[in-house]
Amino acid sequence: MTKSKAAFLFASQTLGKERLYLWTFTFKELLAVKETRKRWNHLLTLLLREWPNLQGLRVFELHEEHGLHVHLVTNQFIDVNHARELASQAGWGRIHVTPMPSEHSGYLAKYLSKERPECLYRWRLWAGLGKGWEWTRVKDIVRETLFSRVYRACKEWRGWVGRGKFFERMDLVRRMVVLTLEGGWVPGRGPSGVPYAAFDDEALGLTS
Amino acid sequence: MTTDELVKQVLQGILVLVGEYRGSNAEMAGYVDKKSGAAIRQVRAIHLVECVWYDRVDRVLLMQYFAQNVETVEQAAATFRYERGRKYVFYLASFKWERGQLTGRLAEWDPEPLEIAEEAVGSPQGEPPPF
Repeated sequence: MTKSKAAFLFASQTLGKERLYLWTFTFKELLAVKETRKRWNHLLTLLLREWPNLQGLRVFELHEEHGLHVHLVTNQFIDVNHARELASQAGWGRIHVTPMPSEHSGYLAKYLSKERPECLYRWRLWAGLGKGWEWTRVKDIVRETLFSRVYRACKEWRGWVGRGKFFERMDLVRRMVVLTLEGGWVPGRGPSGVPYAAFDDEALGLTS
Repeated sequence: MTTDELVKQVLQGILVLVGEYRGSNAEMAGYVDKKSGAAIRQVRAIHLVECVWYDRVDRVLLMQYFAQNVETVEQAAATFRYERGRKYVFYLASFKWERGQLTGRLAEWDPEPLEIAEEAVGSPQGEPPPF
């Protein structure tokens, strides 16, 4: 699972306390992804103008045959006929909406597990929308794994600041992870639970 | 598992990795939301295995995710019955090469120790000819 997917799952938990609505917006014709995004921005502006309290999460999905389309989860009922009018005004085709229990809100996360197509590189595959709620962002997520614990210990040990020498840092952390597994060390600590700083590189086995 | 059985499985197309077991770590891995404090956690194990990767001996990190009956790190650690330095056959669900590190995900089948028959280096020396 990626950090982005985890953030989406947390955000959907925050959004969904009771009943949610799952919307799917598609086009009649196949459009380029940039054009789709443009039309989504237009539609979103219209939706928020009409329903200023609308809160939700949107996910872009690139379908193999139908191109880019948008899924939206909202926690408020909005008139589908009116929404259709707005969608048609913004150049959208079909709209489908279905009620969904809040515990299924993670359903959309499956789109975030797919390999990202090249044309969506650096895109936000999902985003929150609406005022009055704080959705979880990727920066709010802390990862707890063996690697992250060893990384944090190395950062303290070597006094890393900023983001320089990324590959050298990763290489050191990977070697420390291997040594931790081989030596049965406590994650983030050297032999016998002693901090890394108490040893020199040779004693830790980094020079071999 | 004998080498014959291993070859049979490889020929069937089962994805396996044969390597020397070097160590393991069980952990509660996951994500924590700094804002709400909510967490998504899962027990997993990381096994370190040494294997021959083309022209050199390399270290592979194998992730093992447990079924729902394993809920704690201690329960996961109790499943490690491997002998350090021994060769095992690890069944893989997937693997990837990323930033110079080979990592894999174990399939649901447990790793099996590999039994390698000692090969005869030659026939024993006999008596010298009588003439």
